[in-house]
Amino acid sequence: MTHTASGMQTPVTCAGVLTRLRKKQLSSSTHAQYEEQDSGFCSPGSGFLSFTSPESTPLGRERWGGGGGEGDKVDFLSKLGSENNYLPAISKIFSYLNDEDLSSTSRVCKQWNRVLNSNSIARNRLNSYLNRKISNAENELESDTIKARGVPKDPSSSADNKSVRLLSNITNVQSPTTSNISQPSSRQSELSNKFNLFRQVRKTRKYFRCLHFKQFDRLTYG
Amino acid sequence: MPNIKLQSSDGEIFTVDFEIAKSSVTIKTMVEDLGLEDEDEEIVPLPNVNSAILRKVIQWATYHKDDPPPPEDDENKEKRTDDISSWDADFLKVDQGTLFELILAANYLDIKGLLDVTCKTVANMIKGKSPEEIRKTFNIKNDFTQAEEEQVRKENEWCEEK
Repeated sequence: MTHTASGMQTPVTCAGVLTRLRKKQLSSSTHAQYEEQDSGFCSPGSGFLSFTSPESTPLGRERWGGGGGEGDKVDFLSKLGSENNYLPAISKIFSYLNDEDLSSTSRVCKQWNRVLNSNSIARNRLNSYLNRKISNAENELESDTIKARGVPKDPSSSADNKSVRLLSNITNVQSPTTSNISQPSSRQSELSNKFNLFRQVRKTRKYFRCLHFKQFDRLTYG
Repeated sequence: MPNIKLQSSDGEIFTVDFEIAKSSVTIKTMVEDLGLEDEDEEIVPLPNVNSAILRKVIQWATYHKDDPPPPEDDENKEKRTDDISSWDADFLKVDQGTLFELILAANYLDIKGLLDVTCKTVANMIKGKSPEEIRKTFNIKNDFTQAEEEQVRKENEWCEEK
């Protein structure tokens, strides 16, 4: 309390400061609470609880409007992402996340998705991660299919034909005239289900890329 | 050692050792460009930082005044987040509002060490969580439409199936 009193009597040389001082008087009770927490900070056992106690929330709420009844929660990325000044902070946060965390981040809400996709490094990392995932899954599906048919992989075929071949493989597997099936029929349906899912996912990825770019454009060009 | 006076947005004046204040590139540049070093009565206004946050920033800078300069960033690779010192961890046991203001202040004042450790703390709040857990952590509403959500779910399912 003594500090608050002396703080208001601080000699001030700048002119515009008087109005600020009046503001300070208004918020002096908040200020005093913060003081108390600050002094309790170093004493063992009191630190954490006193700091997260409700009294400390007005500090953050004052300017950032977190007063939705949810106390001290702050939507960091949306708020940092709303101003260009904070790009270094955003890039830094992304740089501490691994690929899977970036994937989760992109799925939290539209604004986070937008913030992530307007950061070129994070966007590239996420895209190459998802592409890797898809192509791993694709390779695995292919080798599964080949195993099921008992036919060796044709090394000369190009990657572009992969999907077409996969589809025909599965059709062949399902056809009753195929003689060299080594797995029971449950295996076949599992494979074709997996493949259908795979095709849906491919569509999804295209759709989502469009979503990303639309949002990115809007963000960039207003 | 010479001191410097810093004025927070709410008008409070802090007298700080110049060596400590110099950990802020913004203040260092301001002082050097304006040649404030010789004049004791000059005050550096910091209109973007309130007194509570400025006090914490000074507390941090004072503790870390003898640290070697932090290494340069390589933004292309993932960095560690488990190397926060116990003093910093205690220092950052604050509510999210305060942590957010500290990031803004570190960003504005250009104090790399403080920005690193505050952003690491935020990253640790995100790491290893599902989107739903992240939403809970930061009180975020899921605003994806059902169709978009479904698309995301499928993509996710496929990725997790391996």
